[in-house]
Amino acid sequence: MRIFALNGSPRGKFSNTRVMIDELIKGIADRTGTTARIHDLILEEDVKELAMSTEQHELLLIGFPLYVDSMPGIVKEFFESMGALRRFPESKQIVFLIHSGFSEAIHSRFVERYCRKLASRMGFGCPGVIIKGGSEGVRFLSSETREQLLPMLRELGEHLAATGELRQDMLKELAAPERFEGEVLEMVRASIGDGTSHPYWDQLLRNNDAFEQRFARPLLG
Amino acid sequence: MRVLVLDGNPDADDKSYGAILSTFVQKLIFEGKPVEVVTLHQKNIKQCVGCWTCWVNMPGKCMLKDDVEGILMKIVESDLVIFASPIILGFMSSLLKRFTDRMIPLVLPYFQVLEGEIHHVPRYENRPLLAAVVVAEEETDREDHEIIFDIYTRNALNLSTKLSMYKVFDRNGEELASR
Ligand SMILES: Cc1cc2nc3c(=O)[nH]c(=O)nc-3n(C[C@H](O)[C@H](O)[C@H](O)COP(=O)(O)O)c2cc1C
Repeated sequence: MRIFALNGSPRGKFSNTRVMIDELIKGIADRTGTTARIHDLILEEDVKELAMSTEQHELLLIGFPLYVDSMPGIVKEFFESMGALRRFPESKQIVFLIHSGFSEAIHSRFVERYCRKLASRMGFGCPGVIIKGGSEGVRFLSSETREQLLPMLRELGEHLAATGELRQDMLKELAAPERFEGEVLEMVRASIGDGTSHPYWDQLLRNNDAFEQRFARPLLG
Repeated sequence: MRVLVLDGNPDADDKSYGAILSTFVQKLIFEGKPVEVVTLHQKNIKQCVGCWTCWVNMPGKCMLKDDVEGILMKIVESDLVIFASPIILGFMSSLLKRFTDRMIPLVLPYFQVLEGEIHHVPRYENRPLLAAVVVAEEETDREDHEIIFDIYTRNALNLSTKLSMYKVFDRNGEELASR
């Protein structure tokens, strides 16, 4: 099985997307012994040519971070280039991995609908869409999310290679929470404060000597 | 009502789109609204690289140097921002999306709960209403209309504002959907 893997993160090599796609590929390799190279979209010189090259592959793995409720601009550009290849005879499978800064899967569900529609437009089979919220820490080696997440992605990859399917129970577990409700929502509400401070961002602001400017409005004339 | 139209058409030769958008803009002007159109394909708009400089290094400012800051300055002075684009493969153009990715300096890194979900807090007091105006491609169907509408409704939520208008035109300028 020839696999085309795309890292659609504008951050390129040091991105959460890359770590996650890499783990799926490792899982596939555990089963099949064949590995795949990951294309970092932001570093590619010719998006059209890259999109053309998907033609030689049977499985497309397309990963991207949620950017303003949908795919990053460069990923849309890649899709547009792929559009030109529509309905060629060979059958293909496409798997999307969409992840977001916010913890709830609900943020990614809308662009998921777009991706499924795209698959059917292209005449591709789509075993599923992997959704993961709260992904911002995955690229850091010591992160907790990373330790829990990576073994699951690897298993998902292995199972995909073995059966051609994504395990629905694992997709559900990865996507949880779908949204915050009831008591949990109240806890979340309490933990995010009044919208004028947050430990994570405040620390970064302080490290950069920018804390005093945190509410700056430089665009006002 | 100051109106800003962000024209995300990547193809200057797309005459039917151009005619439909200019008819639409003429109507707004006729209603007495001051309208400014920004033609994105004439601008230099780089892809956001997710560095968070605009949140934690130079709050409110992007480190990329191109035409985006000038457009954001117009947005914070507007009452209504209209995202206009031909539908390409079921969604707004990649050009318009690339610009949209650059709008995060308009929010703070901090969080709030809106409609039971986590979202960011706005940086500016003035939060223009949003609208989306699109021109269908041949294969556009109702599902496409709805996906675009839903995603723009979420964009508005993310910016703590509302989607005040949504229109889909066919290539003859007939309204296929309007909300
Ligand atoms: C311009 C921009 C827009 C973003 N928009 C959203 C969003 O709408 N919802 C969300 O949950 N996360 C959003 N994020 C957060 C990213 O999805 C998140 O940080 C992700 O982990 C980045 O992954 P990467 O390292 O692979 O690029 C946005 C990030 C950036 C830079």
